Amino acid sequence: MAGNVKKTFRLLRLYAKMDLEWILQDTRAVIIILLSETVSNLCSMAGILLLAVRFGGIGGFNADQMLFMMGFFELGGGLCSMLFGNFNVMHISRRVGRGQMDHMLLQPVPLLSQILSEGFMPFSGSGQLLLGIVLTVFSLCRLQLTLTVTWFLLLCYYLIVHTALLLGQSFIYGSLAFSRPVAAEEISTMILDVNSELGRFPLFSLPRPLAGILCTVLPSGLLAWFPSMVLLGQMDLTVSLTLPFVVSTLFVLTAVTVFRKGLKYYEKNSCNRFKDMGFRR
Amino acid sequence: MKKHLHAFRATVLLSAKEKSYFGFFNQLAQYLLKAATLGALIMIWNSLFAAGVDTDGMTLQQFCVYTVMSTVLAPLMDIRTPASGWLHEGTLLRLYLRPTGLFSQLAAYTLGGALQPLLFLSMPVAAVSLLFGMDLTPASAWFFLSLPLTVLQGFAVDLLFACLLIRLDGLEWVIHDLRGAMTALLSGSLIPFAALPGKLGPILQLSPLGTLAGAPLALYTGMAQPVKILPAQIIWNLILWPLAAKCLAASRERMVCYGG
Repeated sequence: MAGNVKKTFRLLRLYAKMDLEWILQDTRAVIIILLSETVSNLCSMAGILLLAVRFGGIGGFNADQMLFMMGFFELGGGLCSMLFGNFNVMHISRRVGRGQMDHMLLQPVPLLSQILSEGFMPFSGSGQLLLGIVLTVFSLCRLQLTLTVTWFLLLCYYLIVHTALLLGQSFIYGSLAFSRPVAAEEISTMILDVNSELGRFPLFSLPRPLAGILCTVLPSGLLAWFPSMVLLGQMDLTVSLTLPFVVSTLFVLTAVTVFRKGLKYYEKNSCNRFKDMGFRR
Repeated sequence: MKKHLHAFRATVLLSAKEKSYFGFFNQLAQYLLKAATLGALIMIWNSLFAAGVDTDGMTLQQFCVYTVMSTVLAPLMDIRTPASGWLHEGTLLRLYLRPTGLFSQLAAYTLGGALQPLLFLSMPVAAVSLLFGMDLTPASAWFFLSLPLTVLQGFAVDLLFACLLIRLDGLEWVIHDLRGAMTALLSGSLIPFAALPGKLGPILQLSPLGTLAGAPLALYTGMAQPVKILPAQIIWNLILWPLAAKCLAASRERMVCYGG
């Protein structure tokens, strides 16, 4: 166990080094990617934000609070993308559907260590995270909140929940690609897109049952809206700690179970798209 | 001429019947995603109007119709020729081997490809909206002139994005994401320009991207007058088409396709 943890950290260091080397070798491409990522993330959230500015807020949030919510969303998404964005770890259905699991299973490293380390891109994948930090800090300055250690702990807690929910959903739905490699190749992308679209909307105006669904079964409401309510002091702490914990734990556990079942299926049936040099490389 | 028309029609039909590479359910999930975004926006309009905000005389009906029609007409207002994707995959090269022009082939594939979303997304959304009592009658007949201009301009804009992709050495997903986010905001397909703060709306309304979705939708809902919008659309068509043709000709030698 301790050996595997060490191995994972060694791999993380290695992937960070490779990421840095890529930046040094192809700086132009990295700058273009970072810039376009920033612009596209800014554009994605600007619509809702501009509405909030124009109408003095949406639902229970004023414009600054909406800015905080958007900042938190980018922070969570950026963290997830920096930790798991590379080599399609977040979009696991692509790896599975393209018959690339064999390449992972052949490595003399536990699968979990590979999943935890392969996606790490601390330099080229930090665009969204940096944008999230800037927006969150800027909104906090405008909101003039009193920030305590508990508040920062809560922020970290919700960032972990954000990451767990995104990865959990991607792996649960992505496991479909074990049995349906072509049809489900892009299913992880799709579920992440759903979260990216709906996660930016404040859910104040939704009827309670619908808001309930978006905070449990399809938990895009837990990605930014719910945490922002808590961090901005608009929600009771008991519910606000329990619900995200229960939902994210359930998603992670289900993902582990479903993915393991998928692997067993793969061990027996493999994938008809397997190629030794990698499908679509 | 007759031969070319026949080839064009055949390609449109071929493209319309073509199965999505990932299957119908994948396509269906994408439609559901669009429908979910539509629902979320309508909820926001409802909450804003329930809160009694000042909307400069615009009604909830106008906002809702705008949002519904942006989904219904999306395949026509956000023209995506297969150029960018095919460039990445290497398929684009085979278009040069055929005895018809590149533009007409891309147009035929795009029009054919738009038929499926029109059938499986636009029609159900329009039908459900009508069932909910929404009045989808256009507020201005100028809309019917504005829409073809938007489609034409959309082709030019798409070709310019393809040229950008060639210049950036095939960073397809970067351009894809950037374009998706930019056009959603700047073309007015997500939020009506009339709902943007300050002078931002009127400025964007006349911009090259703003005249894509924002123009026909504003005319459809009566949020803007045709006097400014239609000339802007005509001017942008006159500027963007020669520019796109020139850029594409200049980029031809730079095309690098991966294939596979």
